[in-house]
Amino acid sequence: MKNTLLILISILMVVFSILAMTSEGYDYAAEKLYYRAMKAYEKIAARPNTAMPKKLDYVERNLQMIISRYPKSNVVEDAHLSLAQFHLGNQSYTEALNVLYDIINTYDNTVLLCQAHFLRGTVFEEQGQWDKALREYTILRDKYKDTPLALGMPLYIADYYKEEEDYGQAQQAFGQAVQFYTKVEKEERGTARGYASANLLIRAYMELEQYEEAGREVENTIKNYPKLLPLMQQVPNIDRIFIKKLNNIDKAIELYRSMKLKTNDHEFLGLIDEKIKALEAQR
Amino acid sequence: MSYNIRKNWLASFDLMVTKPIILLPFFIVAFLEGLALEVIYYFPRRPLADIFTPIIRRFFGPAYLHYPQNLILLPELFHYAQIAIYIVFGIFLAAASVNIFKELKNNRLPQTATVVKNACSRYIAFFIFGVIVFCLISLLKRADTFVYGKAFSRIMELVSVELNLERVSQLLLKFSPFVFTSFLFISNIILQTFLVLTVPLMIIEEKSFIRALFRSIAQGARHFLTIFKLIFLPFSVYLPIILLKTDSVRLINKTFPEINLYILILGIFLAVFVECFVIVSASQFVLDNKK
Repeated sequence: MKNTLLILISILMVVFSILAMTSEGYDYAAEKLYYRAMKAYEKIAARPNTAMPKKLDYVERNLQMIISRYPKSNVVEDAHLSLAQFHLGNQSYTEALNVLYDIINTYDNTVLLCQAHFLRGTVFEEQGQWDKALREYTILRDKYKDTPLALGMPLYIADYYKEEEDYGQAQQAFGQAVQFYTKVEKEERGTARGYASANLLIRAYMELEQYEEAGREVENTIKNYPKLLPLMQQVPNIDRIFIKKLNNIDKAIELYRSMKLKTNDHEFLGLIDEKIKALEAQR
Repeated sequence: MSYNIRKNWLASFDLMVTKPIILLPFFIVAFLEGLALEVIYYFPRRPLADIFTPIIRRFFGPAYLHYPQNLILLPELFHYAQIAIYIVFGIFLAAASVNIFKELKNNRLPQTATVVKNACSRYIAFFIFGVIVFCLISLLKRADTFVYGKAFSRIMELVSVELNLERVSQLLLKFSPFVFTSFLFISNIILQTFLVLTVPLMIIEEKSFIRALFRSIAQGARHFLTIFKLIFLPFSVYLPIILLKTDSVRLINKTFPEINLYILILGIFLAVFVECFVIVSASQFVLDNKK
């Protein structure tokens, strides 16, 4: 029995050794390093004030190892971006900018490059260099205009001016946002991007206090995107614009009635009926 | 006269300690499971990835081809391998163990060739029995899921809506997977109460498969509490492993992904002794009843 057991255990060990030696795990090894680095980084991010230098070194070292030893792995782009975010989180702005510069010059993945430009803009903002940040956001908006991140840039820039209480610049930026979103919505009408642009356009009009135009855009959105989710998302817009700002209850009821014709969802129809009832009582 | 379970356990334990040859078939099962686990552990890496990638991508999704998701999938894949090993080799090797038990009880030295020959001669019956047990366990799991689902919904409704006990309902949700696993565990033992004597009856009383199966069910009904108690405690040793496997994702998040592998290895090791103890106890019960 002892001999049999020894033979069985030996076979298991030999098979394990053969598999360990012959297994080509280039991507797997990189994924493992990345997971461990991110796990450690999560813990640091949860309690940044108690982060020990050893733990910070561990994260940076692992990410650097992926970039240097596994440059063709499937996680190298994520590792590179995470390294930039890590430096940004540690307020090591020079290192962050250097890593982002490397990313922009090394890769051609559009999504990654968008994020890299956005992060560069964020770093410049943190350093109080708004003109440089604006340059990055403008590159993002113009060069990578088909990406979701780029779509949010006009409003992001306008919001910056609003927060800085530079109302003149903010008005100008919101105006540019209106032009941008009007163009995109027209070009991409009927698509998810078109719908996203329509919503951002409504918001831009609201910021400019052009409520009639905002209301018109809500009406167009209901007409052009007659699916359940877009319709549901326009309900708060109808309340905010037609009832609270324009005090046009009739128009609000008309829009709710037009919504009812575009859906069969019982729960949503019930909600619309309640809204119409409440508005009719208010009239 | 009530059956002395303690005496049975002591006799079974004594036999396993003094004649460890009876454990050998279960060590062979553990070896096969260990081999399967090794292959499954290395599936995301070439050369095994060349075979496994299309299968994993088709049935589970491409995310499980990467670390650490492959380790989250590990217990499920291993479970399928265990089912295959159980049906093809498990019952056959358990029968070999019962053969060894029979020889030892007749004060004869078990001869490997004889034991294997006796087990092989009825391999088809053991294979069919393995398939039947697997089908019954699958049906039981579905029934349990249905019953538990209904009961749990009702309890949650009572606690959160009628009694408005927010904290209690949160705790119930948190521990629900473990409660369900325990419920399934006990159901499986109840099922085993009716089936566990089949192989010992086939070997010790030399009954045909169908007769042994029906007699096992009849004995299970007649001596339900005795057989249930006989096998419940040994199987309970395995329960912590089963509970650890239940919430493996949360466990991985709290510890590290390789913990799944270590739990499975521990499970394989424990199963050798648990399964052997149960089959020896069941065989002892059959022998005592025969007298």
